[in-house]
Amino acid sequence: MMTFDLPRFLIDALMISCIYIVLSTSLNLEYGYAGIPNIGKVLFLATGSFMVAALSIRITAHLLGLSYGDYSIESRILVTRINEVLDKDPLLSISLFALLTAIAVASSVAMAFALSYPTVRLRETYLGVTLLVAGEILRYIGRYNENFIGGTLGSPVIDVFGWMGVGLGRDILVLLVYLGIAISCWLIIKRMLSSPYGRLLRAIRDDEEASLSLGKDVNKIRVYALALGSALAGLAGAMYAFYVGHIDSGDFTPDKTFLVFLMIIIGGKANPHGPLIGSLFYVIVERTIRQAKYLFKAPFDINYLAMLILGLVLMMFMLFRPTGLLNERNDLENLHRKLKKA
Amino acid sequence: MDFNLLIGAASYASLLSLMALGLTFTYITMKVPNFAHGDFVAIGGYVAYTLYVLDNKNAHLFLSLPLAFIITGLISYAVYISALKPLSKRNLRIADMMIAFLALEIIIRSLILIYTDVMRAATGTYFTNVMILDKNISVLGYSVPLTFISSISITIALLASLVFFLTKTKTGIALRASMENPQLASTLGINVDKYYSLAWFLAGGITGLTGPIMLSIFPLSPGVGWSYNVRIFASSVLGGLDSLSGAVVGGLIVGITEVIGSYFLSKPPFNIPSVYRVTIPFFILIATILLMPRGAITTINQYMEKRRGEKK
Repeated sequence: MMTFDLPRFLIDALMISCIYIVLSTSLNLEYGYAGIPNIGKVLFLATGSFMVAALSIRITAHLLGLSYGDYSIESRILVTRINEVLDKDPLLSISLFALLTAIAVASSVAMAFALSYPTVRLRETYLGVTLLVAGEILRYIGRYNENFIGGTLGSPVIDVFGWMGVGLGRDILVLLVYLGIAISCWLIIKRMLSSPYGRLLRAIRDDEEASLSLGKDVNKIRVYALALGSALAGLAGAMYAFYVGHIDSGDFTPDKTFLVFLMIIIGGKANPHGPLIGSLFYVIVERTIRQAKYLFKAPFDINYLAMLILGLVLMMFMLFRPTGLLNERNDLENLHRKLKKA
Repeated sequence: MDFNLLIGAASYASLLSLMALGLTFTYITMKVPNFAHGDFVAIGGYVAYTLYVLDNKNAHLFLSLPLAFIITGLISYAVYISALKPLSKRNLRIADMMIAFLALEIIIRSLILIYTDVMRAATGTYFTNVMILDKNISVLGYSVPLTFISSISITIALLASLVFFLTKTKTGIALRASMENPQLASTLGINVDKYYSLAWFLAGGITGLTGPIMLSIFPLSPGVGWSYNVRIFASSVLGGLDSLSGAVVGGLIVGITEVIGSYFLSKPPFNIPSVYRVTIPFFILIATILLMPRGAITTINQYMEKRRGEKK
């Protein structure tokens, strides 16, 4: 039996929440506001994570002049040698973090443009199916190609926070960095969505023909919304890769997409606070189940039961409260309320 | 190219066309692709595998097929009645319906996962990554795999009886009417809800039927649904998503291209390992969406009509 370490547990839960806040904010933009059913969310998350996993060791090894043969075997030895150097070099660590995150975001955006271009003009079913299938294909390639991210063994990721020391102090520092990224992303998107841009997205979601008649290029707006959302998903992927320190293609199943949708639906679609509430709700439930697993015995894996319950929860929400816990905040209603108060 | 490859391609493609046919039934009724469709194949497979394990590893293909049809059909019917019928009454947008289907897939797959874990504990045999070895039987002096005989004969028999059912019987015509034009059908006194649930039963049944035969082609795991979904969606989009005959043709084309394409790509000059064969349906999907988004069948029909018009 593992001993329960409360500070470590809280920090871990908050770190995962940060990643999910970035991810669900991006989905709220795409699905809640613009009405694009991006059921291939995991594809963009995986693109970010895979790019970091595939390039972090290769780029650093190149910079430090380390040579290697077979990547999938030697990456584990390389990563310890690289981390030893990075522990003493904060500047290099920070610039690598920035560079790799930028690459992750850029490749995720490129993926969004490449896949939405052919499908955005068609019925939304086609876009959904294409994104979903593409996510599965990327996972297959990650799993079977050993030169990409180490095949079934996965690939380690360099530790860019090693120079912050060890122990609880480091964890808190890293958490502050992640909280900073997550909250600034959330604030920027919230600001954007309460500007005329948010209204434009809601307009194309609610009435495509009316927006067209007002001279809005609906397809272009959709593609750009998807690209913006994918940039955030790529960022979340990079954050995940740097936090976990090891990327295995097996983690990027369509279940992840489902979980992000669960957060959005529970929190409330098209409400800027929805992603925050949804992410926190999911992380609390998930971590509780993880602890509860040790308490009782069942002839099956408790995680399956947890997924079953989460699936039923989402189904119940779709049936009885499709708007989620928080209603969509309508600008006009808000204005009305303000005028009444005044 | 050898004989076995062609046989494998034929049996795989015919099973894929049945799966795509099942998806089209559900697509026409709900206007949203059913993401749990691949899991129906897994359910059918597990019905057969459970029989196989419970009877000391004797494969009863001809007993497990009807059972797989009925059980998967009933599960599909229950899904429609309990979740999808109330959902469709709520006038959700297509995007929201897709999320509901995503949740449905999670529910069904979790149930399969729990079932396999419980069964493994109860019987002490593996329930993930399982296969049933194919038998060879001799036909006219040739040794032919049983998979080939059963898949081809079942596909032909099922398609023939479906064509008869949908065009000659009163129930079948009413079913087609309520799928093609529900408003008009209901004004003529057809209970559209009843026929939709029949469509879901048939969809589940037809798809579940492929599971037992697939057991000797691909290893069966609880999470196998997604790898089937990739292929089924490609076939269905190629056939035009809402055309029943298109789905059959799409399934045949995708299945044959996948098997024969992966064979040629694994040879020099390409040397691509055959584990990437699942990318072939994906490229078919993208190409269809780019070139003829309404599906191959519809596009060809339109072209023929245009030519006929020019001749006149």
